[in-house]
Amino acid sequence: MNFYDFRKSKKNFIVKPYSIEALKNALLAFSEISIEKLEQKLNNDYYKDYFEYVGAKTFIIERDYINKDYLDDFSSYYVKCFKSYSKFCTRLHFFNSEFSEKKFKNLISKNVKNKETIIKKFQKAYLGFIVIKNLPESIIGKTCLKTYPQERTGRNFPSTQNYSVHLCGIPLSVNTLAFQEQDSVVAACATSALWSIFHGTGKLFQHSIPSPYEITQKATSDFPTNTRVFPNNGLTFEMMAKAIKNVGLEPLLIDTEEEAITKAVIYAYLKIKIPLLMGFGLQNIERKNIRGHHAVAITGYNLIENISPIKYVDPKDPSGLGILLKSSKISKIYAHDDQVGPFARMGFNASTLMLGQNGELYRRWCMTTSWGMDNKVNTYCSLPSAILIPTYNKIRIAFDSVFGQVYQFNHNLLAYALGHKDNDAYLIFSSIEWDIHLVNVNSFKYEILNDNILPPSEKLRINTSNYPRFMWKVTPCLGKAKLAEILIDATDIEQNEYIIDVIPYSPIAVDTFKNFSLLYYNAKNISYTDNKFINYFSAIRVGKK
Amino acid sequence: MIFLSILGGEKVSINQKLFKKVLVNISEFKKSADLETFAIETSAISKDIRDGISNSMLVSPEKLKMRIGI
Repeated sequence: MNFYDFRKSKKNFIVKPYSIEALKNALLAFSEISIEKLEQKLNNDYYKDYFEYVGAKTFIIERDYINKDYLDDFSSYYVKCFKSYSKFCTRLHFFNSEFSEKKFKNLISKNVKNKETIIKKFQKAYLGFIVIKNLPESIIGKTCLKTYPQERTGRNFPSTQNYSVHLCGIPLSVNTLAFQEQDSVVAACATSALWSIFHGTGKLFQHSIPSPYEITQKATSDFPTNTRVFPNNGLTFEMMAKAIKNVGLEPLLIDTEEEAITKAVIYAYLKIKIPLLMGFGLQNIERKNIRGHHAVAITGYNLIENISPIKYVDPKDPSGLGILLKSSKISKIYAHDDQVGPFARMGFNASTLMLGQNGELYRRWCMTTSWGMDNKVNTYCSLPSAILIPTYNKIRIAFDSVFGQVYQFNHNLLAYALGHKDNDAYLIFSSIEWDIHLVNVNSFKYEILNDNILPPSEKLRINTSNYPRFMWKVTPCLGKAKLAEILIDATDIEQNEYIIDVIPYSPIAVDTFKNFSLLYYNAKNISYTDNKFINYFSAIRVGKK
Repeated sequence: MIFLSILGGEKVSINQKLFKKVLVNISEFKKSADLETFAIETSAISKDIRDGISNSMLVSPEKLKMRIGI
């Protein structure tokens, strides 16, 4: 069926075997996009590769669909155009099983044998949907597609949630995070990224999800501009932060000069399901010029457990002792890139040459991206500028505070071992891998409930204790063995001694931390040292806690 | 190797002997005269590092004003 046939059909729904050509014909038939622009849009093969990977076999075209998100933008902007754009969209549903239109019609209209079993199979085969907007270029509307498989692959998509869908009376659901491409009218890439992020935080922190038009409007309302807000040509980090404040969250902006810190921040906040926005420059790999700046919503990462962590040495650390972080094992992230697709891969461990201010060449870290891919060849790399995190107002202790304390404590342990020539201590302390991330008290207690290492008395103590809603969990590990879980009250103030509990997975390791901290504390001969870990462990030792 | 590989996929043994040796060494170091010097030196260096970490994560004013919109 070519796209003329799709257009001529009077049916409200059409069931077709999936192929990339059939998908292209459907996109052409139910929008105003030209063949040339569609070929350009799909030339990076993202959708072709994705649907092949997840095994799409059949798709259903649902016509005259009203999509709330597009309707908001339509009523705010498109309805005022002289040209009459349609408010109706088309929704495409994808399945990884084969079935005919006749079989589907029978299912929704007749009392077929084993109806419940058939519906369950139908639900299991559901891969998600794409909304097509009837516009001349930016036609990909709200898109909710299943993620790539996670089990035993290293992939993690913590920020996904269940989206309920109804198709001709059949309830369906897909676990994902909504995506849509920018329309370059009410939304540029920054707005589209924020819209996806708010889908994640809306469920997490119970706030309303504004439409792209509302996001752009509220983001720019307090900033003087020398040009029109609409059509929108992008937002600054300040404007994006304003958009975050408008939904009742607090923006946290972190620079991405260091690759290790970037990985650590992404890991720390994604683990509690907060999607993040990353802004980056796009460098042409061959010509080395910067084409412009782009933003994506980070929704997942790939972390391989069985590899060795990479030591991070802070540029201000003259000792070179550094620290091992679990997050260093992240090899790539998955981002909603509105110019590529949902869950687009961006790889770490790459570098590029840059031209300095004085004309000198220097190397800096970069990320691979499918952006502007031409026949499967990367033409651009991304130079991350900053990460913007929408945090709940109660999460007051930021990553840099916790990481600084951990780095300092780790440094003190290593400095002791080296300075005192204690090879055994150095062997242990230099192998400790630190896992640092935010945690919600309910998820934390649920993990304790299912833990089979801690003794029952300890589990009882933890699960009957009061903890703040949000905590930082710092876990020193040796290989796959946890030594302890150190809990930090994320709702506390910076000036306070915010460590609130230590769960001793290895009592002898915790005893070592305590004895070392008491050694340090006694040496300083003051009430408190300047490291919260040392203060906490030494206070336990001297019976203050 | 100071730690054993996973047994049964869940529990892992830590080399207790090595930790015990470290604990003994710490108590011996406690009695030494170098203790105070060590504490002062490491404290000064590591606090600088901690402050540096926080500063390095701050975003420059130029980046704040950069328009992002391809």
